[in-house]
Amino acid sequence: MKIHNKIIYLLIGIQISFILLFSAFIYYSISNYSFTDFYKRLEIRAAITAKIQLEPNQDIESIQQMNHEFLEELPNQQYISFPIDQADDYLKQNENAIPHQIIEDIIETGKAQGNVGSKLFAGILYTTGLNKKYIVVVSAENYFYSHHIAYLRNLLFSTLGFGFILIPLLSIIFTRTITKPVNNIINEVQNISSENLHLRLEVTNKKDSISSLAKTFNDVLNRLETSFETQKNFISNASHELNTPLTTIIGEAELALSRKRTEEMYKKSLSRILSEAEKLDRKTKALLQLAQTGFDGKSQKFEKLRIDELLLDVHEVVSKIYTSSPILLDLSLLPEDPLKLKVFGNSRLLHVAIYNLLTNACKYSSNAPVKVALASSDKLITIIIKDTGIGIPPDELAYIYDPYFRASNVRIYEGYGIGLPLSKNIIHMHQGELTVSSEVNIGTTVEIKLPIGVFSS
Amino acid sequence: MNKILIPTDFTVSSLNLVRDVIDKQDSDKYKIILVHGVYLSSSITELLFFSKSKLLDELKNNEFETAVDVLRNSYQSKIESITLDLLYSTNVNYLNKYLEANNVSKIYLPTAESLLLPHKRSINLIPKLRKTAVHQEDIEWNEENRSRKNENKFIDLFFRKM
Repeated sequence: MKIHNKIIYLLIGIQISFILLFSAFIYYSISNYSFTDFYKRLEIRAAITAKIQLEPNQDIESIQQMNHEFLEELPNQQYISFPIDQADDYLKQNENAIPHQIIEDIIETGKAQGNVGSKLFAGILYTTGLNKKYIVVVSAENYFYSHHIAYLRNLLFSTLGFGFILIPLLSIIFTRTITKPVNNIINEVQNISSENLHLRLEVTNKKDSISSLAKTFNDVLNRLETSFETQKNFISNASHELNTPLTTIIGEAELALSRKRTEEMYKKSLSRILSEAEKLDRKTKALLQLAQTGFDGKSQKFEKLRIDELLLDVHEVVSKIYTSSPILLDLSLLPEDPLKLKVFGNSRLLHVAIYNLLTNACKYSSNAPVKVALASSDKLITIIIKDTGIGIPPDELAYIYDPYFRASNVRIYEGYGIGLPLSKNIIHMHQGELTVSSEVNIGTTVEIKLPIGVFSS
Repeated sequence: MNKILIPTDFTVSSLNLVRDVIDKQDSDKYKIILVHGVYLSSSITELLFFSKSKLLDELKNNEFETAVDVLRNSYQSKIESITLDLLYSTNVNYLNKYLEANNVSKIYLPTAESLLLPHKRSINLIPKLRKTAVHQEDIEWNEENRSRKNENKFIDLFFRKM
């Protein structure tokens, strides 16, 4: 939960500092502006009042009227004017009335602004129609400063207060919404254990990091499941294949020992035992070969493979185990260019995948011939395994890839239901496709499609 | 470069004719034209917007195209190219002109009943092709070539004579 809290604190911190900065900036700008605004007003009044008071009486009436109607009297407004040559005298007399700086500025630049506390001064240098220069200064209390800005300040403080309450709430809600997908993934993954490695996370089509996390997780689970199933597969194969000849040997020996027999019968018995033992030996060797290719426990490395060699290897192994099932290879349409037979994949895993499919074909067709073909099209290599066995009922076709699933018509045929799902996983890992089509009592056709490996050499 | 013409009905089993033909040849590279006969529509709007590639796309299917690729790959040294084409009439003159324009040196024909008519306006070219002036040869069509009538499966390319 630490990241959860980190996010919350970060969000709160950012938002609060933002609204603080925001409020401070607004407050500062407005109070600045209010000063500028006020000075302007004072200047206007200075100019107008100067005109009224200092000019000879022409058109005064209209200006006075304007002054009355449109310029309201500012609080504590005072008007001071004197000729420019009397400036020094005035300064000596009324030291507190106007700041010296203002009068100096007016003499120098023609206008000035300044304040003493909340009393603001604005002055201009007025030249009358008779060319006499006067210094005119208007002063007033800044009403805005004392009232409006106080209001703004209180308003800002109260909204800040609300913000301090609202921001943490919103941050918590927001963070929870964002981390919900991650929490969901955590909960889903906790359901997956070694018993149901078959479960996968739900993946949406969005292209965000959570989706890729889920996809990556599923990939890992795929590899894990394949590893587990490879091991289970081997163990089940081994135990079953080795069991039958051993049973025969034991049975034969027990029978021979059950009572006194002729030398001829003992010889026959021993030779039968010998032939079963040899069968057992061959099977063990074949299984060892399979084990070396399929049961390693190390990481899965991909390399360049020749699919025809691989197929022939597996064919050899299966023929040794299912000696009574003829397997017919149709290699008449192999591509002339051997580069079109190269696949980028893991040798052990592909061995296991094809081994399982081929043995399924042999097993469920009770020694009827099994046909295998290999060909390459533009970008895909296709392997076809066709048998004339018991087939798969159409309504069960959807479940054949479920681990441990066995169709309803398997009856006498032994199996554990792991071979096919394992093969499908392996082929998917190689970016290939596995298609199974079947008709009950007519046969099953399995098509394996693997992408041709493109190697730059 | 030899150009040969073989009729097709866009099924994988019809491609076995190509195999039979090529298997008989020793050297030489061949450019193969696979033709299918189809009448043009009689509707004006359809004729106005007629496009051969669109019609071919309608007739082609995944299994067929994969099978053609497989043939190209496995007979790379003997097959220069495989192209598909459509013929819109059974008029013998038209067929002769077509064969002449495309420099076809030989045509291979199965029996008339062997190929299907997949499109509603498909036509059987074989009887009239027999009457053209180009050198012809018959190929045996094995009815077992089809896994089942009207079913087009990629697997039809394999397991012959097995």
